[in-house]
Amino acid sequence: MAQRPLNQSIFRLVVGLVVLTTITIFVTVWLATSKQTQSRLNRDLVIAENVLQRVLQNREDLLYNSAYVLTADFGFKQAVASGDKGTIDSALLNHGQRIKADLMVLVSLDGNTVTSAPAVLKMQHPFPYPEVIDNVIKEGGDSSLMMLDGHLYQVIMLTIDAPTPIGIALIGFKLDNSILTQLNKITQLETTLQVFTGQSEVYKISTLPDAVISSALATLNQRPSWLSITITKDTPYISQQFTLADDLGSRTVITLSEDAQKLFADFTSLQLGVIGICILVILLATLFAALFSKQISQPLTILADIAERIAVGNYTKDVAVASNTKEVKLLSEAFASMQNNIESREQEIIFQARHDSLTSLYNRRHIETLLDNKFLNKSSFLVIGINICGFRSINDVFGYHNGDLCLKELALRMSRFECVTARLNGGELLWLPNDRPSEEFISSLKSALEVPIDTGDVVININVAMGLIDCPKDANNTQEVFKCLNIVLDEAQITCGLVLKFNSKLEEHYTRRLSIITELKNTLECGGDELSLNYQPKLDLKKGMVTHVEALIRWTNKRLGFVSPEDFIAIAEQAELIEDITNWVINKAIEDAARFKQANLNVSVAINLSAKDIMNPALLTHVLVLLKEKDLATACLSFEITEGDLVKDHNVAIIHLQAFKDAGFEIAIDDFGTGYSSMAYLQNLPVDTLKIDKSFVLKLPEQDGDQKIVKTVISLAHSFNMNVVAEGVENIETLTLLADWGCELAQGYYICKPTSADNLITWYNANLSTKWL
Amino acid sequence: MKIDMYNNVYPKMARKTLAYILTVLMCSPTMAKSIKISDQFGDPVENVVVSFITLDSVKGNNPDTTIMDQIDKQFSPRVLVVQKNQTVFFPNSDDIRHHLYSFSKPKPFEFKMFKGGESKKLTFDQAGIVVLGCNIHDQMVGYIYVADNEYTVMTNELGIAELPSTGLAIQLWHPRLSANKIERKSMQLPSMQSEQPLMVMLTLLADVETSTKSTFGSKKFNRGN
Repeated sequence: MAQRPLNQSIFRLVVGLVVLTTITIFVTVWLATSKQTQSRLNRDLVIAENVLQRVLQNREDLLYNSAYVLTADFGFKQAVASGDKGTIDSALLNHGQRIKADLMVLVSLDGNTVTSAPAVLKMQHPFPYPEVIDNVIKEGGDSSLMMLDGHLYQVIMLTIDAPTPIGIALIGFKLDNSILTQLNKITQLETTLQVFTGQSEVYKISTLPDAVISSALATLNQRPSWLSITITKDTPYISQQFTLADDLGSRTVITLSEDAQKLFADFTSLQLGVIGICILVILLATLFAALFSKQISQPLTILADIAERIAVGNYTKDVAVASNTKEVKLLSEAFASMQNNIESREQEIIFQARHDSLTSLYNRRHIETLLDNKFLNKSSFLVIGINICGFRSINDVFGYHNGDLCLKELALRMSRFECVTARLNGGELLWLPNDRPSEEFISSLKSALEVPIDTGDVVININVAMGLIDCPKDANNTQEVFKCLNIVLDEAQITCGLVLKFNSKLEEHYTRRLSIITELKNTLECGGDELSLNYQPKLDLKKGMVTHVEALIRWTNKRLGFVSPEDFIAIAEQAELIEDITNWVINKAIEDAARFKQANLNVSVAINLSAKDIMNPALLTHVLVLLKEKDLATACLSFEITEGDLVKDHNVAIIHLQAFKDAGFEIAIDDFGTGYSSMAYLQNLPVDTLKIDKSFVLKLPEQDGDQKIVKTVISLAHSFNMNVVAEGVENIETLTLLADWGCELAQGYYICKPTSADNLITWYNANLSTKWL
Repeated sequence: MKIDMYNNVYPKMARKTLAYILTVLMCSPTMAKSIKISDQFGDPVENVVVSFITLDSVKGNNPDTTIMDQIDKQFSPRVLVVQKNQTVFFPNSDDIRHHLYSFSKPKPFEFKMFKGGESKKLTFDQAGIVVLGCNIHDQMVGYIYVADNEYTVMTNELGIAELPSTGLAIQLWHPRLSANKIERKSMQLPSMQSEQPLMVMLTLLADVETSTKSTFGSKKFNRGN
């Protein structure tokens, strides 16, 4: 449906109703007055007809009485009876004058005109209407309208009784204009009298002017329309005709004509008045409807504008629309409250959108915006990332509830400083100081943040790592800030508890780390084709032959080139890839062990396990299954574990290691001496061998201190019934010393560098008869 | 110039009279000497003057009474038959005045009669019908039939008149036989008659009462009342 402005609708409705009403009133009045006028006309005509009849009758009665008195006059009778024409003529004249008759005629009983005064009828001729004579004789008299000599007479005919009829006296009175004028005065209607013989008119008199007679007679017995009377005015008269007499071969008709203009004048003026009032009412209604509809619609238009303004988020303008209409006022108030509600809700939403729901610090998205603005302003500023070290562990150990409390507490502490703070994710916060803070200030902040948090249930010690990014030196845009933050916090987390400034090396390091992780993942997914195992023989100093080989992983990536195991193993451990690597190593080592056995190499392949591997309960079963597949004894495989790894979860490690040992595997502790391990562990650990770190061995002949340590370790191991492996043996002197001190196994470049499985087999066979000492 | 209305009227009236239906009913083959006259409605007609000339007598009968009295504003009798040259007495038995007149051709006259006054007398020397009126009382109409030596009888209230013999050529007169009152009807009676009166029917004009003339019904403009 087509839409229309409200004011237009109201306007149309009001004007439409008024027009309808006024038209109805007009039509009603019109019909009523029309009908009334018509009935008045009809009544007028009927009354006029009756009055006319009555008048003519009265006139007839009067004429009759006069005529009767005349004919009863004895002198008259005598004169008539005398038979003398002169006497009769004079008597007729004289008596006629008495009653003002226009015609006096004496007719004999046999129907001949005896005399006529004046001489309208021919004497001694038959009377023109013989049928009247018979009637007169029979009835004693007659009254009729007669055309005599071109004139219409009202005629009274009476027998002259002396005392029986001796003749007939005709007394005639002319029906002429004077009579009609008289009638006109009584009935107030124009009167036309016509006499017809057959169809032809023989006599006509009228009170109407000659010019309009024919048109008045043309509208005979018609009831012309209001239109033709009032507007076109082509019907001047409304006429009604009736027959006055129809005998003697003539028909006398009277036509009463009413002046239509006069008749309808009141009616027309009333109608014109009503039309005028109607038009006036319509005009007034139009005016008031326009004003009223404007009054209604204008506040609505204003409110619509306000609503649109609110829609675009402009809440500043006051919503107050002046209106007398209650509903509009209510609407305006509703708009005002709506504006307030929307405004407060929007602020709430904006707050939620900008703030972290937990800590009420800014969230990452909003701090991005703030940073963007700062970069746009080209200002120089310091961004400080704060990371709660081991936040995940806090959640794990103390529960998320306490983790959240810690965050809230930190947020609270941060808020005490004049600065912008945001929570990025997890335990990572961002601090945007207003002014470049001094290092002391940063330290004091760090100290303030690291105050142990008392949650009520527990007291949680927290350490935070802080990374400083100097913008725009370190980062040119927000994304770079976040990237640097990742790098610096990552690094700071590794070296937990430090305040670290960002520098480009950190970025390189970070980038390399990322590359290593990515490439390593790819390699492992491709079955580890870039990985390989090298083997370094361990020489049994007692037997003088190689009995063990250590499997050492090598990775040559097509992009990164050769990557040191020291680099990628640590990264793999952090990136949770170590399990996959271990699996690959075990598979490969067992494969190679089978080859060695086939090549008659009686060696045990030592595999390095990380702490995580040891904690994996499925590993042992897996290894055993693989060995069985290759039909190898458990002696073909042995394991080396770094001392530091075992410290973390001592008891579980012992159980798992015991299982390995029970399965028949030799276990060695790697890099012994570098950690801070308690000597107390040593007696409980199900370990066969201690492997002295090469740092003690490399310069053994020259360093007195090293000699003391190595000698002590050897004796210590022996006292626990453990064997000792010394790595980093690079010369004969060292080898000799170790052999002298009773060290069981030696490993190092002097004996053999790490080499591929094929080369090892070759080397092994070549050195079967080598005398090492 | 003298105008004889009656002569002028007569031929026309005679023509009209021919149109009247005259019926002689032969009721019985036996001899009879009376006739009974009734009108077209079968009512007996009184005061019909039947005149005839007898075979045996040239002279007519002289009625015994020749008095035309006025009693109770009426002529009494209504119809008086006299022979030519007979004198009629006009007493006035009413205690009011009368003004007798006649314009009839046989004997126009005029008497002014006072109450209790002497009776007038008048000799009618011409035969004919004399219509009597009173100028004071229009309703008074009387007729004197002056017979020209004829033998006359008059029907009684039963319309019966006794005749001396059968086969007479008679003349009948009655005021309502014509408008001018002077017309007579001649007829030949059959010679063979029964004992029953001979039935004769006359067509008569309606009786116009002069006093009620003003109520004639042919006034044109009485309708609508």
